Amino acid sequence: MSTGLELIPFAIAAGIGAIGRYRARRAEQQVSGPPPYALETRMRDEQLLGAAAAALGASNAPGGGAAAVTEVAGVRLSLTQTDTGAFEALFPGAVPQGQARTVLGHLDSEYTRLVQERVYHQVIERAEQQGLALETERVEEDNSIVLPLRVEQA
Amino acid sequence: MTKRLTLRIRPDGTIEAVTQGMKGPECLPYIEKLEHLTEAHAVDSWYTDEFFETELSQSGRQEHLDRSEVEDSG
Repeated sequence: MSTGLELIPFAIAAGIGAIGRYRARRAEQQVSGPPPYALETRMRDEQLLGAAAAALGASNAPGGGAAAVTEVAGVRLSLTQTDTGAFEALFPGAVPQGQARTVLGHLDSEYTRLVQERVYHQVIERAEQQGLALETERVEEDNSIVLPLRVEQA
Repeated sequence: MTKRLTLRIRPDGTIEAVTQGMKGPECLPYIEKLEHLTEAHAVDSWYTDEFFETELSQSGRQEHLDRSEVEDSG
């Protein structure tokens, strides 16, 4: 029985697109103008998120605490890990939602690229211990990495 | 036949894995192995063409055996 499998790394929350639900938030202080809001993300790994934000030139990338205020592409946002393990991004109300989604889209793309890189290195490092031998490797047009592994021992 | 696992790690971080050269439930232990290897969890699975080829050849062989038994007994 030969099978195909679809796997999602633990660093990515399953069932959420690149940008998840919108949630309006109450401002901590009474200010004029639109209230702040949060956008759900599928990013779960703080270290990779910090690296992704830093790669986009974030001034204060997350990595040292549960919440971090950062600035990506001129947009100020704070990132907080929720009970589900995924981060949500909180934006000031003054930031148009379209702009917020664009910034989060860039952050998500960089993040998933780093997840791909991490998975690649894990496979290379662990294959032999699992009785698998890497035969070759190639990068396809869509930047997918293809790794055929020969089973050496069950 | 060489047994093989082919991984496709996509730029969106998701992974597709296909087993080759394995018959019967032989490939099932590799699901857990793949999850450990990639630090991921399986969210979907399907049978490949090879599965159906194996099933067809096995049913063909069974039909052949059944006919031989009938001929021998007759």
